Amino acid sequence: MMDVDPPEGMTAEEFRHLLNTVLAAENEKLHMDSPVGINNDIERIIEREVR
Amino acid sequence: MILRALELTNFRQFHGQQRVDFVADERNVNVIHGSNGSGKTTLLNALTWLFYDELTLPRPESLASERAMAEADPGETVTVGVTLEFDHHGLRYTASRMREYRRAEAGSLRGEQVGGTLTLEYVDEDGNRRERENPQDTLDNIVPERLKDIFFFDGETIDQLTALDSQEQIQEAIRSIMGLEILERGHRHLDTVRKRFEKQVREHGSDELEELLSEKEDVEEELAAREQDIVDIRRSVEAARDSVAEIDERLRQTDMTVELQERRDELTGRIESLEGDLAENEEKIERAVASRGMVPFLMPALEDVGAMLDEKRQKGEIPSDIKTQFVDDLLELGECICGRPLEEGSGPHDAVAGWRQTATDGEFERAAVFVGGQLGDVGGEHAEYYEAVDQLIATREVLRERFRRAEEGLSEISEQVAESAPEDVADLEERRGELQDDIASYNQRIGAADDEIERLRARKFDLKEDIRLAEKQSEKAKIAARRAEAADALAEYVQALFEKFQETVRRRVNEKVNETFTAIIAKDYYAHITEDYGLEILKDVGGTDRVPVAKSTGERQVASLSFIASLVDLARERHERDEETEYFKGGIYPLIMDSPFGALDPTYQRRVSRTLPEMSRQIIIFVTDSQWSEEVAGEMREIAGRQYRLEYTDADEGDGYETTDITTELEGAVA
Repeated sequence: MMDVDPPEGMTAEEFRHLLNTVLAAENEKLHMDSPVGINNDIERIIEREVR
Repeated sequence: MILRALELTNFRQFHGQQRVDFVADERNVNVIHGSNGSGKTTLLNALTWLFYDELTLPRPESLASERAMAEADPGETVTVGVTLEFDHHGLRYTASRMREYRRAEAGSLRGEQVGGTLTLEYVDEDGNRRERENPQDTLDNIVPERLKDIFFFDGETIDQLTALDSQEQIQEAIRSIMGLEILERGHRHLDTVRKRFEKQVREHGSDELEELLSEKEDVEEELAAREQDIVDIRRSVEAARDSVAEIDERLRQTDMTVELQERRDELTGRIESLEGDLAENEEKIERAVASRGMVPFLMPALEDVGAMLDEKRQKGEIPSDIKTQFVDDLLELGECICGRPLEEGSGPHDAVAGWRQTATDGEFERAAVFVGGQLGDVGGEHAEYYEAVDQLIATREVLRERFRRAEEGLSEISEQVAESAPEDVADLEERRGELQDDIASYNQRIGAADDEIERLRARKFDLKEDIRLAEKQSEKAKIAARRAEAADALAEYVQALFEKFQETVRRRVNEKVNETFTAIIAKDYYAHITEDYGLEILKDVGGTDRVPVAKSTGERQVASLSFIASLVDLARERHERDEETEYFKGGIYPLIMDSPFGALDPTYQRRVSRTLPEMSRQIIIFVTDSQWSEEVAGEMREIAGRQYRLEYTDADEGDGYETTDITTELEGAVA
């Protein structure tokens, strides 16, 4: 993996965790041509992790 | 995924329950023999039906075996289905798609579908049998439907992969199998989510912020449009190049122009090579200027410093006899070394204080010695810099001159072809010239779009900074801003990962495809994945350079086979290497091929048969007896772990219904 440059107020570890959570959500719907609800899923993940 | 067994139940002409067991690894070739029309394609369709509920056969609605329907009484149901046992990511799965058909009336073999199920069971690590809740999703994940033509491929049409309109299919296959798709999608979705958070910031933020965000949105739209322009123009360039390659091929085959065309091939190759040399030269110049380009600008200032130090030396100020610290200590002590008191305002005090004018602190002297030494070094570097840059510029001039001459040569060839050849050939040449003009104009447009993209990216960067400053407004806007920033950072990171992997993957696929292709084709031909994911065939000209050529059906088929086998091989390689994240794992896939040797001459048949089994852990091929030629059998017989034969009985020959029975072929079979 490449080095991460997390945004202000977030550690590299938190950033990686967020990244992996988002990619896991993508992976679950990878088989769908149009992954229904994926934007909502990602929005909720970020809302949960970034307060 | 490794297939273990396929079981058909009253599926089309396969009456009753019939089973095929597959092998993998050491003797990894599974052969299904059958004459034309015996059911080979139906067997391949059984797999696509199981995975995607889709048939590409005539009368797709007639799924049930006619003989099974005839044996059922009116009102009775007949079960039709396909069951596949396979291994995937360390688990043994059993997928089963079943349908129930009720026979309507005695005079008709048509059945009404009264039920249907899809189940996917697996055995977990503790040996317990479990069932997947979403079997269709899991199957789609294992072999995505958009890749079915790659995984379940029909050899008679597979050469179409080299057609221009297959670029997207190739790109999709590479991205999907090599794990790039998740990043591409991730970037797109994170970008959408970022916009949502930015909208929230706008709702809770100031007017200025709203304006900045709105401008950023416009810039992003413009950026996306220019990037799409480049993709579209590149496609047009590929299309024009393909047409030029076809014309060149015709000119190579025309007696009057063959020599001119050969000369043109050579010059085209030389131009491509010169383009590479020129780009390398420019890069070297840029590197030299970036690393030592400040030296000429520093020289005047350094020379001034040198002159100043010389002057101080001549005046005896460097080195100095008296150190500043010594003078300061005497003044602090209030007594001279001769014993006189040094009272402030007294004559002796002022005299000692006056020494400070000529005294130095030692640091200055050391610095002066150091600077003197450095001046010598920089002076040397200055000369080296000019020499190196002069040399590079001289080389560039030589390269440009060669380039210009090669272009003139091409232009002369065009004139000669147009003048000396018959009218139809001259027309071809004219068309060729137009296409070359189109390509030049497309490339100019790409350059202009690239410049515009650079400008827009710089503007976007500035806007992001301005937005950050304006965001510190309300608490809600602040949280939304932090989330937008997180989404933006994630999107950028994912995009950077994508770009890093995409180029590596394209290069690796390109190497592998070419390696496979050249192992099969013994001519001076090469397979190449273009930057836009076209699959093209190149020919050696002039010993070192390669130009695209129009290809025969056989060569196209070999290129397509090489591409698919290479992807399967690279996915396996990546899977075994345990890539850096769990999302780029690659995977194990079989090569399943219906009539893969159709358009190949015997030499290619032998080489394909030798090469492909080395690239996949499992090969399943469907062949007619004529396709199972001496060349193919000679290579594959010893490694064919299973061989089956499809015994077809025509409706007129048997009991009035067409049927196919699967029997074990003894030759080379493993019990």
